[in-house]
Amino acid sequence: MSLRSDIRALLTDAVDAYRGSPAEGILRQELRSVDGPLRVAIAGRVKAGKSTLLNALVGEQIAATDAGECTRVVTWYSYGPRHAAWADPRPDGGAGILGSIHPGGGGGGGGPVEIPLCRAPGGAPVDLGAYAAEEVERLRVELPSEQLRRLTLIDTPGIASLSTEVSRRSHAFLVPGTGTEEEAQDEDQDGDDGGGADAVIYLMRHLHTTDVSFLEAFRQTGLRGTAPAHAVGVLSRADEIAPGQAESIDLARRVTAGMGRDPRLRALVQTVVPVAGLLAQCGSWLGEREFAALVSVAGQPAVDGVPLLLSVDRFRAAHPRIAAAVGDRSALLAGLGLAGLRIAVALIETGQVTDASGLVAELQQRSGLPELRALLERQFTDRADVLKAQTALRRLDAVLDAYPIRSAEALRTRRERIEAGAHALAELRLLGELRLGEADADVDDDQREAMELLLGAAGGDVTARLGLPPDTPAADVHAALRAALDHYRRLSENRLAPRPLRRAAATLRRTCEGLLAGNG
Amino acid sequence: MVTRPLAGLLFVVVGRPKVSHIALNGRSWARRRTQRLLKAYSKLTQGAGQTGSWGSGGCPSGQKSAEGMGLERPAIGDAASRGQGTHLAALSSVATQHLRWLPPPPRDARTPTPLLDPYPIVGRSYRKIYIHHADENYKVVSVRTSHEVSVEVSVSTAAAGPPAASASPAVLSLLDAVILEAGRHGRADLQARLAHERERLAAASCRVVVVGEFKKGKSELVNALLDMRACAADPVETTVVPTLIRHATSSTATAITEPDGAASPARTRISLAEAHRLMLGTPEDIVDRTAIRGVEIGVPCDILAAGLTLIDTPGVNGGLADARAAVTLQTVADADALVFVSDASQEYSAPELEFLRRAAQICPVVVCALTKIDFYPQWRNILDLDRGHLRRAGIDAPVFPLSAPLRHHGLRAALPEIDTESGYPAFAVHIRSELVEHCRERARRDADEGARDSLAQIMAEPLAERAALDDPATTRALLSQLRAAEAHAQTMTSATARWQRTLREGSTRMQRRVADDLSQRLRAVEDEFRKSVEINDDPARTWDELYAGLCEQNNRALMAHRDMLEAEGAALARRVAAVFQVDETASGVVPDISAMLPPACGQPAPDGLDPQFRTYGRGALWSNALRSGAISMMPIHLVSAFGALAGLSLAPLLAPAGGAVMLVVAHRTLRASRESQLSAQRAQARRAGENYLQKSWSLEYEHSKRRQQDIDQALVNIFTDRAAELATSARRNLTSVARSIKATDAERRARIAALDAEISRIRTLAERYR
Repeated sequence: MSLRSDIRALLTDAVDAYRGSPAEGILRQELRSVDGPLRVAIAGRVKAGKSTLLNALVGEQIAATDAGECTRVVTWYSYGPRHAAWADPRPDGGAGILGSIHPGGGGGGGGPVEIPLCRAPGGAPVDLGAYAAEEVERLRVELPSEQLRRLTLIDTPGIASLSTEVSRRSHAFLVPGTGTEEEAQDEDQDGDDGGGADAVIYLMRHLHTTDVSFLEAFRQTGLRGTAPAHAVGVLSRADEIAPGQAESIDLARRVTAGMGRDPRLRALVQTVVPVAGLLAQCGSWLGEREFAALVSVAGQPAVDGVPLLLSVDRFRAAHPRIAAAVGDRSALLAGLGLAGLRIAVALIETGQVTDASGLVAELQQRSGLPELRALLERQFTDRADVLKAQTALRRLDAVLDAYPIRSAEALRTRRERIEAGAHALAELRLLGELRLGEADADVDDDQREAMELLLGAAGGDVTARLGLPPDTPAADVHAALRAALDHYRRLSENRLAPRPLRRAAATLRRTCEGLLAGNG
Repeated sequence: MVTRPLAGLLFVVVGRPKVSHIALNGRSWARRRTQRLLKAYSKLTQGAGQTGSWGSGGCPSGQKSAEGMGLERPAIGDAASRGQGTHLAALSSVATQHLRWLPPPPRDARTPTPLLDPYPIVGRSYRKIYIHHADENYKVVSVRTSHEVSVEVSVSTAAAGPPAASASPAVLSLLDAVILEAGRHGRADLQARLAHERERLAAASCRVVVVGEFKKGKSELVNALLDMRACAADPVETTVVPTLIRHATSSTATAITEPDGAASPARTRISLAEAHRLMLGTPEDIVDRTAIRGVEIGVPCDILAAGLTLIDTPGVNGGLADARAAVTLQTVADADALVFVSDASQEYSAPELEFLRRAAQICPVVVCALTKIDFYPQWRNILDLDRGHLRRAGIDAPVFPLSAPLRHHGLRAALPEIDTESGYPAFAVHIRSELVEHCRERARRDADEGARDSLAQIMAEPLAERAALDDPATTRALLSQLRAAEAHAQTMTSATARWQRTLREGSTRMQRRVADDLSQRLRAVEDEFRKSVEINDDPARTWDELYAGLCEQNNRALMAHRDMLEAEGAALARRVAAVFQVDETASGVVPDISAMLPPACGQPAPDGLDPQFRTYGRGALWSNALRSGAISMMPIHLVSAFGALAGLSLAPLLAPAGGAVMLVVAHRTLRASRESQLSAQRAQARRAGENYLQKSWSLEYEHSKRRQQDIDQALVNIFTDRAAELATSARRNLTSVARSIKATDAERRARIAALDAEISRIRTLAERYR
């Protein structure tokens, strides 16, 4: 039986056991999401570019982005047949909204209210209408986007916001059950806020890892008991690292490489990649008309000796000799940013692109988005079952602790059995321990890296696990696997080795055996 | 009206300037601009860099003014932009920079005419523009070479407008006249004091510290303001070493290092490139650079020469929770003003605003800079949001939107309007006219007070003699009175003088109180930390949180302790000054000079300073403390001058950053620890925290001790000198009166005439200090 079906069966029984209790809703929701898409939250400090990245990932201008702080409500973006949005009002108390992710699930309290989705450029895409942000528990948006078929994306308000209420909400969402007692009580009353994500994308825009407060914010949001396998870091706004320099993305890569070595960050995320959000999302709006405007700009690099792209104000000032209207130029600037504009104009000037689609492709290539997509695929989608299983078990634990009933013990025993039996979960746990320095495996850095790779830190396929190039011949892969298996078998049987190391080696040995079996 | 000694200006453009010729002579707009530029300079140069010497003969330094206004620009790379453009750029940038805040030139003023270039034009590239002072005889100071063109311009006193309150050349020459007068009366002691005052006035510099989170463009801002690459700036690496930038005639760099175990920091001359390498790094590099206290860079730059010292600090992260926040705030405490840098990418964050609030408490003169406005389309919104945050936080600070790329382009391509758009000209004007001018004004008031007091002491002698000569009958009574005064003054110089006792006792008490305060605060922080470790369930995992909390607590304690130390010091100074004052008044050695002058004509009394002076940096803390004790201006001036001086030494400006690093290291060892026992982990976390506290507080203990010694020593010096001055005055009064007894009638008449002339001369001088 697969892990997923085990979990499904367990949750189904748990729902039966808790029928009529407030916990039923939570469990039902969890049960539904076992077969639903993976839930990935996007978290980070204020103005880190969370909504911009979300738009880029969805491929559509759907989340509002603005210079000031603008995401104030936790918003879920999931796949749906049409564009639609619902607001879940904050419950007045008692009943709570045990609403589902999917529309029509309904719940107590005010119940979800469909709200108009304004898609006019410039306006806030989601209009809260009569509701103030404080009254809304969360927003749910559905779009027919292919990208969302396998991932549900969750946009969260920024941490370290000057508005503490907004910060608190993010916090409460990302770290359910922590915080002050009062808040915890609030959450109890809510039953559950429907929060909890299977995986997290942390956005950071600061360049250096000793930014104590940023790590502090992340540490607080770091889902307790979760391993970095659940999280990847994104150095967002990568185009701003060296404003005005074309090689900004390359510089960003240098920065992220340094970040990846920091032990505190390693404990938090798998890896860090740079993404230039604005460049990444240009595909959703950049058409031939915009391209024509860019061409006219490229043809007139300077006005009265002043380069047009010297500053944002110069670029959008009235220049009678430039064909593109002021409004068009402002739109281009808003869409691409000054750094993006410089790259786009350079691409057009050098003749590397000749039409809008070519430009979009080039810009997206340079945005770092393809790498991020690949990373998400490797880290999240490929192991969606394991990640979801872990969330489900965590949820179940919380319910069992909060509502002890007679059959709780039996459920707990089954749950333990599943966890013990699923090697993927053991791998994930060991990986987390290694990353956090908790495994106490007395090994040097090289050895630890090899262990982490083998556990799937860089991806689940066999070559990635062995740290071999993807095109390695099968025979070599096989030989490497055998060598690793031998190594870990010996280690696990070595009575002189410290106990934690032997335990880790045993897990790794099973991994090798599994891979060998799969590899034929 | 005061005749200004600096009636002429010499404007020398060094190099092979084809265009300087055009810029200066060719077109009318250029001429107008140059004239205005020169006028601006006549107001702005203010004797900075004048290294004039005065000797025992009291020769004012005007004769020997030195090249003060060196202005060097980096070579321009592009051949196309070389030549005319760059020259005009250099000139017009200077012009736009300085003209903004000047009142329009009076229409009827006799406008000076630049002379024509007598030299043939040789080449096209240029290197330097030097602007020199000439003395009133229009002497040419610089050496001419065949590649130089010099243009001499006369600026009449009338055309230059009324002398500004802070027209330093006038102030200096007046001070020189007082020094001369002191020399004439054989008062070497007063001369020495005034000479010191003069030096301070000439070198008066406004210390502006640049702070903010990292990667906000602090170093870029410094470079753009100065229009030269004084600081290293890099898109990826960041400033890790505090850097002090001051004026120098040629580029210099000094590394200030503090080797382990050395008593005092060592200074090493290094090249600018080396300095830049030292300054930049990733935060991890701080571990390797704990021995480096700071870098001092001297560059030739007009705005620095006008009396500005900039301190670029490593960025803080997360406000007070940053381990180095206390170090940065220490720098802020020693500064005259604070530039808080944030960029246009986002509004102020909560930690930023909290840090700013704390910094503004220490250094109330705050200027906010919003950088990178060329890059963020929404910068105007951010500007509004930030202004709102400041308003709500009760911080009264202007926000300047700035763009370094616009600045550089504007200057390179000779486009003044682009330069204006960059915001830097307005920013520079604010720094000059608000910050630098205020500092200068304060120094001037201190110097004025010294001059006034010296004149009173000098005047006492001829006045006493004149009184004796006038009425020989009273001579005996006068003599005995003067003898009593002399005896009184003598006792003030002895080690048993009342003020000495007060100082000794007070300083012992202060030492004890400060030490108690320090250990109490340390204990409180330590206890708090231990408690938080004790209740922590997972110190290894939550170390970052513990660490930030510890840093924040520690920073707050350190700041509170320093506030206490300064307040104690100021209170001690007030007590000593009050005792001294009572004795000084009782001795009656120094007459009240204002009583000898006609009533003031509507000018505010020296104590009626505008309120801003009362809240100006650390010097103000001191002078305020003294003022509240109803003490006359003289000791206030002495002590507040000291208070302001105390920050001048580099040591407190570039405070050591060593302690901060320990926690980062501790973190690594803790995480790598093989101990899985909670109690063992707690013990380890406690040890790491205690180590950090120990290091940080042993540094603080040193700082505290040094500061106390400084205060002690300064008070001893100030009042010992003052007592000696009084004794000299008393003795001289006595001798001159005694001499008058033996005089014949004829001698007496001649002497009275001579004395009258002397008195009226001193009075004329004194009147100018009203």
